[in-house]
Amino acid sequence: MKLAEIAAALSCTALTPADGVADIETVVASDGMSEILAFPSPGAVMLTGLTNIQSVRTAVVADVHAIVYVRGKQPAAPVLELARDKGIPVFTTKLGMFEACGILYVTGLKGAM
Amino acid sequence: MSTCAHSWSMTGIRSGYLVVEGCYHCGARSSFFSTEPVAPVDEYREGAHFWEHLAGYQAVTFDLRCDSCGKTIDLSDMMGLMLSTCDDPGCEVGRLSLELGKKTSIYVALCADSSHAGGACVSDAGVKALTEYFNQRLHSRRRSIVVVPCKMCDRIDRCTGIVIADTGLTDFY
Amino acid sequence: MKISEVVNKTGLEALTSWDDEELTGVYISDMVSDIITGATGCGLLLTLQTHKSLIAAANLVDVGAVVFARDKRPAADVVELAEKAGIALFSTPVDTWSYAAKLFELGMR
Repeated sequence: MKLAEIAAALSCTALTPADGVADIETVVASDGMSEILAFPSPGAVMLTGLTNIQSVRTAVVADVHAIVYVRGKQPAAPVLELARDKGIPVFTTKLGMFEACGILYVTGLKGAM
Repeated sequence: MSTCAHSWSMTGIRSGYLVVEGCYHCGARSSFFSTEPVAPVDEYREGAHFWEHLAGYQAVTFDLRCDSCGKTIDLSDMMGLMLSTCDDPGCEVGRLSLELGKKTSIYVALCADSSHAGGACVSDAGVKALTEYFNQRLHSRRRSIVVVPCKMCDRIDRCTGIVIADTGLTDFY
Repeated sequence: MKISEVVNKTGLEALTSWDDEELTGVYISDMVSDIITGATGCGLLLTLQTHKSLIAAANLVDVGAVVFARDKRPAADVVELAEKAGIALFSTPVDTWSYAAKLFELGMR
């Protein structure tokens, strides 16, 4: 699925440029970063409520291709700057984690692990 | 005097860090809420205190607003909430817990200065509104919640209650 | 939906005693600060966090049942705290996404 379609399905606001990302088929959902690193999911979209700088660092190491911050969270400017540097598109949605998972499940995305 | 029965909602939700510092001279503990992107860890001197960084947790603070009458309770004097596990008859909170029994949970509203040297703590209006708010949200009616100010604790610095704060989200294990 | 139905249809293991209450919704979070501001009473809370602070938060907002994903199990003192507070704890072997999908399939919203 195209990243733009995922963003539209979740009524996301883009916080960084979202160009040049390959299609995404898998999802990883966690606020805890150890979970994301313990079960690598390259190419996935990461749903998380953790907005600190470690969320982007973890995405880089885990080779996650996009981040969607749930529960209406807005990361601070330095976090977005790092995401821009690393070329990871970042979005925010007002949806909760369950609603976001449910919508992506219905659209046919799969779990990453 | 307002006659509104108050139906509270959370408002002004602020995400940030609960930063806990200790003075290595007198053993006092102090907390503050920081909304900076990275929690500060500086040591500094303030009057007779030498504050040393002890811990930083991701946490949240908020105010309460009445949906009926619009009254807002400013809770910027509350740094966090702690579930009391105290049953010490020598502590007022412990006595309250023994008196109310196990169907009632006591949450301690934590203010910035655990030494209460200035006499200030979370306001009475704040504590009252918090108690009303959390009880209004209880659906099961099996339980009740009482919120008390941390000055009620006998020795808050030594208290073993459970602070509601996020730990471990960026720990790797 | 009753807790018993969710337990039977999604294969949960109970870690505490529990009453068969009605679950009104689902909230997924590993952050206690989001749980106290966002979770509503009598819902199912799906989480990876097994520390005491999770119980303190779940109790404050009157969560109906806590489900730990990926076979997480809290330490004995955490289970004891939940039991005392009357909070039902369960465990599922699958990860958060997969369990969310199961609940969605069941029709929970």
